[in-house]
Amino acid sequence: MKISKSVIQAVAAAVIVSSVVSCTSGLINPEKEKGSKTKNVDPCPGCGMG
Amino acid sequence: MSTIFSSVACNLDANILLASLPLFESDQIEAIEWSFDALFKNDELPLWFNNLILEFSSHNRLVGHGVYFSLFSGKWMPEQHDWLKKLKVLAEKYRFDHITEHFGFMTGENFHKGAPMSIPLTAGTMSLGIDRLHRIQDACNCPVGLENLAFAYSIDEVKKQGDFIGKLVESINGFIILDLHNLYCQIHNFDVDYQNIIDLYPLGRVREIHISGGSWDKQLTRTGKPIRRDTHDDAVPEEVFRILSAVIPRCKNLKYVVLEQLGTALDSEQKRKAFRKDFLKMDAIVKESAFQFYNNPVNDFRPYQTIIPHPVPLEDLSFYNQQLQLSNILETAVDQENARHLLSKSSLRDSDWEVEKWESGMIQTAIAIAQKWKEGF
Repeated sequence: MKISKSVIQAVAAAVIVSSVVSCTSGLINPEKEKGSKTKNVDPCPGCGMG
Repeated sequence: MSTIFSSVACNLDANILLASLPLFESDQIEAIEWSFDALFKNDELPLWFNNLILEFSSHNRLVGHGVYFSLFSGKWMPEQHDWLKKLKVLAEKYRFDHITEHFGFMTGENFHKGAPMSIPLTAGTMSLGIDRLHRIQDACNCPVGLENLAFAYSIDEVKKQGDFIGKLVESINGFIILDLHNLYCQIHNFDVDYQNIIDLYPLGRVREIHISGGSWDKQLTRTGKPIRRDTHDDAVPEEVFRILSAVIPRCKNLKYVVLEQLGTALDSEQKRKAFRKDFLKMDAIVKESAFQFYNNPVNDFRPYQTIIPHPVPLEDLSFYNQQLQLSNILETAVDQENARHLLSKSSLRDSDWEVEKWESGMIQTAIAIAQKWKEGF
């Protein structure tokens, strides 16, 4: 599916910054992203809990 | 033209997004599956992630995959009520083509702690499952499906699961997510043939297929082979791809094939490359199947009539009590012998749970799973 360039660029910028800043965890902190709170996001297990 | 979309499980995780980025850029990802409830405790998504979700939503290529609802909890939990409220809000904001959850119940004393485990397949649990499916359907107002579970305590359970899930989802004209790695786990752990196990599933009800990787446990099956676990932390096994090729033509209502992997297992560029390689291989199988058979879904998996949930959620408190006992045993037992001893003294003894038939290696694996996740995620 074709995704608009601006959306992809924003995702790229966010994840590349996140992966450079955090070398121990790939988890993105949405609260920090908003610049207001500092609550961590747990790793998303999806359904790989077996 | 094929109507089967090659998709990825896409969550707010830098490694998953980094792995997927080149595929997004080359327009190869046709839909995304989002585990929406992993972020329920956060008030708001980052704008850029929200825009990504909206992009797929606006093309009707977004599907939601719940993890924490705990469909078969015998007691109606306040967290389930909240989960539905949040789902309703999300379903008004985004256009989900469907919503799914997992078969089983979550061990652990509260949500976000514990792991999914199987349940006795009885008329009582069927009623409980139907009640919960009605509520999910009412909240999201789109097709609803359930995923087959990887874990089983016995071969009897493996043989009954497909038919039971089929009958359960029929109550809302729902569908099945056929997780092929879960099936692969059962094929190995119980020494059953693919053909024998696949024939036990109502394949006309499969709207989505999952593929993923997993790991070999140090525990052994009754035939002395390592137990396979659905840990989503490695590349997709060749056998799973072979099963995918074989099963697609039999799933006439198939719409999504999803590659899943945990972000924690994509922490190097080498692993992310392997993920993309798996995606391209999956996509090639999907496209090749489209040439071989004309996939034209006839079931939209919407309920035949408006579903209004009963005002009072169904509960089975003695069943809930057994679930608590089992969770506690699995989370505290030092080994399977200790667990067997504790089970023999619990109300699960001589009950529908049929604990006497549970295989030793699988009890040990259940202990490992429950203790791995008991502190949450």
